[in-house]
Amino acid sequence: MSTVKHSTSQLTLLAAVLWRRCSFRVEPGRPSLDEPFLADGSPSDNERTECAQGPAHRPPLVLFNRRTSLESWFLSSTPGNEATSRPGAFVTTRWSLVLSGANSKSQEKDTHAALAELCRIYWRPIFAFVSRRGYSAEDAEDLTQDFFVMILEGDWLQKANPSRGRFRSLLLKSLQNFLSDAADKTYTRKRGGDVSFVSWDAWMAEAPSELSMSTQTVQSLPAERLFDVQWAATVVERALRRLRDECERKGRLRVFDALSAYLIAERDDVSCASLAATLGVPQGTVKKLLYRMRQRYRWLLRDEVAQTVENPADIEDELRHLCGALAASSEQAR
Amino acid sequence: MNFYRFTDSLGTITSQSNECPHCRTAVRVSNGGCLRCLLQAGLTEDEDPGSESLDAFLSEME
Repeated sequence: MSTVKHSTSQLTLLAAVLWRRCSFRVEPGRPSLDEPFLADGSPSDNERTECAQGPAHRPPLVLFNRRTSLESWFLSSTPGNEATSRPGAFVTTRWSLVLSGANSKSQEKDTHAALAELCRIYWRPIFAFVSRRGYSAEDAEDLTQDFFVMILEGDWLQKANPSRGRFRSLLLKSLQNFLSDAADKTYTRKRGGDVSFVSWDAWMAEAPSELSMSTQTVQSLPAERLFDVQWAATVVERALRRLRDECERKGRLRVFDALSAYLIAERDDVSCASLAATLGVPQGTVKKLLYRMRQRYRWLLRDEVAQTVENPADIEDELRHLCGALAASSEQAR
Repeated sequence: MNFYRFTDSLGTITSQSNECPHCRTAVRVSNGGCLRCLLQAGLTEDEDPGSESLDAFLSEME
């Protein structure tokens, strides 16, 4: 028994050493925001072993006018997020769950729940794309709704050949095809009847977007670029919201309010003295808080991206794609 | 383009461009941060700190 304990202790020590050697990689070419905070701000090994982060609170969604299985899918709890919040995560994500269950009857319920959750999260890019294609507000809402119905009630995954790529790119391609078909049919839609509408107000209230764009930017972007910008905003806003929720759960919302604006600030732009005065804590505490909040934000951001890709190795590519889309959008807006 | 509802789905449509001094992108999110820079931050990979790390520290604050 003592041998086992000794071996476990050795393994723990080895893991700790490896972890410390592998941590804190810094993006080349850009001064580390965290360097001043590493000395005493790095987390202990014990802190890596658990993650209490659960899914953010989600009020129930409201659908009306038609009772379909769509409703139950949207209202179902979603597997996956709890698992991905644990260390070494990014293994079973919503998208990988959807792909693995695409052709499995036994996993149908979980697959649909995960897919419905992805649609619920990423409705804004879809709606923005449809609106940008010139449809009236009512038609854009209806088309978005119909697109969801096609995704969730039909055999979208099988038809879309999800061998297959990322959720974002597959969804965009499907949306383009869907609108093309809708245009061929001279899309006209009557409200009411057997039509199921998403409750837009509820969706907006659930996750209000505070994305700020200039009129010039909005008007200059093609639909595909607007889709990507909205997608990027959704990812970032969800990560920020989760970080905010974690602070709020600890009764430290004021910490988030004071420091969240500095998550990406250059070292010289951060006045620790001023922030310390605002929060009523020593400057050293501000440095540690900033370090941990930045670290946690990065992890939450990558976790959000991970939910939409099949392979963890795709996270970086997806982030680079979205960064590239934003860079291109700023060029087009000029 | 019909902005009704679509603009509802955005936070703010501003008449002025609010360019980030670092990346020149003019799209901001809720905390006033530059969307592109906030995304770029994700390209620096950490080991998972777990929320315990931040939680524990927040708890220790007086």
